[in-house]
Amino acid sequence: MPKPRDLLKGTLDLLVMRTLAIEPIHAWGIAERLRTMSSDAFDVNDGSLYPSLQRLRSRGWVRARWGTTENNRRARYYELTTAGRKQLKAGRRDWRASVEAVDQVLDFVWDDRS
Amino acid sequence: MSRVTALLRAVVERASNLFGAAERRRELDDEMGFHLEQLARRFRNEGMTPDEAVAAARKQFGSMLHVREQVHDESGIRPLFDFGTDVRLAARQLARRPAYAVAAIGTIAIGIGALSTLLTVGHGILVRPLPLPEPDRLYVLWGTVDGEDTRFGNASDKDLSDWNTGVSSWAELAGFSADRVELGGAADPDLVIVGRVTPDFFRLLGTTAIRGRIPEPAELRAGDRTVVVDEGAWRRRFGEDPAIVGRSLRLGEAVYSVVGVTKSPGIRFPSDAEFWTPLTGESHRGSRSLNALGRLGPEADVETAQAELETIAGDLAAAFPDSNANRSVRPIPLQEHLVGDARPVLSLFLMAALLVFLVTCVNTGTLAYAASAERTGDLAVRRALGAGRFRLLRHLITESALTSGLGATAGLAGGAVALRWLTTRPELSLPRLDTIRTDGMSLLFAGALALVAAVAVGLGPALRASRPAWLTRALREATAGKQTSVRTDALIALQIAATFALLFGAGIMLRSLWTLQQVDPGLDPDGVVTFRVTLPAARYTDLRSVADFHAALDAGLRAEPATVAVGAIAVLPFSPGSLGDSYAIDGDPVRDDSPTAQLRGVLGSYFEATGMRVAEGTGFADVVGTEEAPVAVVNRALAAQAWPGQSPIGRTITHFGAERTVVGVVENVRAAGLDQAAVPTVYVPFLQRPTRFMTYVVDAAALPEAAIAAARAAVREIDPELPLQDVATLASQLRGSFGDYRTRALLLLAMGLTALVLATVGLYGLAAQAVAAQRREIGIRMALGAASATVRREVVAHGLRRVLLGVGVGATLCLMLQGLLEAFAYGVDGGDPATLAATAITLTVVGLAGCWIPGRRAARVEPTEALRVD
Repeated sequence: MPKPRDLLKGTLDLLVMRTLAIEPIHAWGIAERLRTMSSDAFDVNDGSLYPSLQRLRSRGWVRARWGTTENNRRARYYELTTAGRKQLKAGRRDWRASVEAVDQVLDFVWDDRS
Repeated sequence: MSRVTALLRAVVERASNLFGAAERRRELDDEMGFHLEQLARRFRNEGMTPDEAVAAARKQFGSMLHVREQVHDESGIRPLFDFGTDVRLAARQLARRPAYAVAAIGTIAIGIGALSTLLTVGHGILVRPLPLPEPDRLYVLWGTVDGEDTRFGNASDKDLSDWNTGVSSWAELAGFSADRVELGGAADPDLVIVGRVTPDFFRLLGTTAIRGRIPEPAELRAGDRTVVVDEGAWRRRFGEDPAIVGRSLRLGEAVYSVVGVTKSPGIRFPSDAEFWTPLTGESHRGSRSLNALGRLGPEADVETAQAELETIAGDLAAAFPDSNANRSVRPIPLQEHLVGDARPVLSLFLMAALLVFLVTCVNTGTLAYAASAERTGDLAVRRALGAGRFRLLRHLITESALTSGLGATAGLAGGAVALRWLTTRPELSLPRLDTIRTDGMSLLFAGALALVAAVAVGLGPALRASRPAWLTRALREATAGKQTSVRTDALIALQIAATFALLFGAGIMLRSLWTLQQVDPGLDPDGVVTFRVTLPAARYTDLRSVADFHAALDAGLRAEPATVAVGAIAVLPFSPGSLGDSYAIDGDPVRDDSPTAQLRGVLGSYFEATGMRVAEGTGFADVVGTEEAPVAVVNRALAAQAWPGQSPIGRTITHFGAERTVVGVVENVRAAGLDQAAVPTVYVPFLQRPTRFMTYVVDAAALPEAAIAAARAAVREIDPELPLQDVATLASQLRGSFGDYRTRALLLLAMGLTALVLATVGLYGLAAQAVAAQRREIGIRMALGAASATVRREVVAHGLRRVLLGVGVGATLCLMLQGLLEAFAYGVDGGDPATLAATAITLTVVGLAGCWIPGRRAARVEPTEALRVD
């Protein structure tokens, strides 16, 4: 299981935005969704989520507001902005492109004569 | 030091709260707390005990502190947020080096305190608007003769009324003069200054009343007996009497009825007047006993207004050639008229404070330079750990800003104390001084200076230390002090030059003071006490009773065994007050252009008691004299002016309407001040010029306290209710007459010595630091056979070069500025070579001493130092 810190910085941001695309949720909810959606592959319950969230807020892709959970606990809810949705789309495209490129490199057969 | 640290911490706390850092941190902690709870719950659901679940959650989540820092790093508001961190870090750095912190903050406090205080004084006097409605439209009309300013005595009431009917640019023109007369009807009789004003005076100034009212122009015609009282005088002299309006006051010979009390703060104008009455009567056109004051009309500009006055003056000169030929007036802003004379002395003080500020900035700057060299390692480590160049720069600048900010605060506090001292120095004779307070303006000045100091102190070392190449090199070579010597040389020389100028100025002031003290005052104040008595008109109704009192007191004082001689005079030398008029000799009539002389009524053995020498003829024989057979004793100045080369004895002088026979000549007394030439003076027996107030002088072979106690007893014997006023020794009065010289010398000397100490410490510190940094190098040279004397000589010579450069620049500066000093010098040239030389020698010797100790330390470096590795 890859440790979250092994995730590329931009990748975690992308995954967080993806979870928020479903509906606004708090940081704990994001971590839980990530775990579920990745079939337990990604468990980011080690605080690395917070710098990522701050970064996304600074860039205006995510906004935060205080709300209450179903158990009446105060929590900060994060929400994808319009700019965030566009960014998610662009990020997904970039990710696909780089995965293809990485695959191509890895699967390349080097032939000296070519 | 814990107090300093606590203070720093409080400042930091405040600063972070200001930017909402604490609030953001609380929110993040709350959010992470929720996350931990949820995580623990999950572990519990997976079968852990509650304790295990919490521990596991903590373990998995990791360090909350780390998360906090990372979030800060990602935060878009980081520059603001980091300000708090920067300040905290800077405070910690300062607290870690308390000696440096105290020295730097203290030095800056001195510089900012001195300069901001004097800026406050300068602003308060020169710039602060007068407390009157539309003060910038008020002008005083200075008289001119053939285009030359005469400044005072420039209008007669007739001129004034002609101007008033002829002008359209002036909303109002009024005339005023000032008298010093005796006040009756108050708690204590006293001599007071009375403004004599024309009807429009109050309307023109915009004076308002707190009691009664300001009289209408119709009630202020010449000869009307109405009086307006100053608020301060009402409080002081009448105990805030609520029934003051309608009361009768005697001012001089006439009785006036109080109409109103003016509201303060206003200005006590003219000449610190406490009472204002209409003019006492009409005068002829040539008397020009008035000064004119004008308020410019709402649309008018001063050029047009002046042209109008000149046209009228031309018409008057044509119509009355005897009195008005070649005469005109020139409008001067009222504020300029009141404060213009203070400008030179303020420039002097400001210049001095500016030099002190310069010295403190340079000193702290070099101190910070040296300190940053010591911290090379620390900075290099932080750089290696990833702090960017900008980050380091900002951190170092924050540190210098904190230093100068704290210095400014301390300086402001010290400045407030200094200002309170300064504002109670009447001998400085600066106008408006007593109304200056530490105010928002002072805060602004201190703030601006702190900014300047922060940049001056911090920018140099910060730029240098944040340069990556420098850090690497500095770390490798560990002789950081060495590369900066050219710049440092210049800074030290600058500091020495400023110190030179300050010490030279102080030297000129001290020499002036010393020269003044050598001046023969014309009397011998040793052992002489003085006090004033004022006989109330209620108890002393006629001249006879007044004369009887003085005869009795004279006898009573002489009966004391310790008494050597007793006398009294209407106005004591060195105290304010004058009574002058034109005089003529040998039966000639007094004309408009006759010379003037002062008149003094004396009684008892006044000349003998004050040690005045009778040069010719005799003094007065009787205690109070007689009313018949007018006689006079004149001083040598008058004798030389009226009868050059001849004996005045037996000749006559007509003065104040009486023709007197001269019976004696006394030597001059510099009554108006030691730096002023003696004024022609006529002394007459008391009964020929009686006044209700007389100042006694008692020459006694006793301590002043005993002499005064005896005098009190003697007065009580005759009139138990009569107070002794202005009790003093003649010596202190004499000293007071050059108090302004002493205060100026004291101020400049204090600033000069402060600069000297700072500059010497700076010089010493840099030389010592350079030696410390080069120990290994010196050790190698020693090992290679260099003599320790050579090493010492090199260190001292290097320091001396800096000093001599500074002395040269300083001397040039002083010669360039000698005009500024000349105005305050007495009997000494503004570029006095002896003072110049003395200053140069003092600075060189002190500078040499400052380099000697590091030089000796360098000479004692062992060759084995070369082997040491640190």
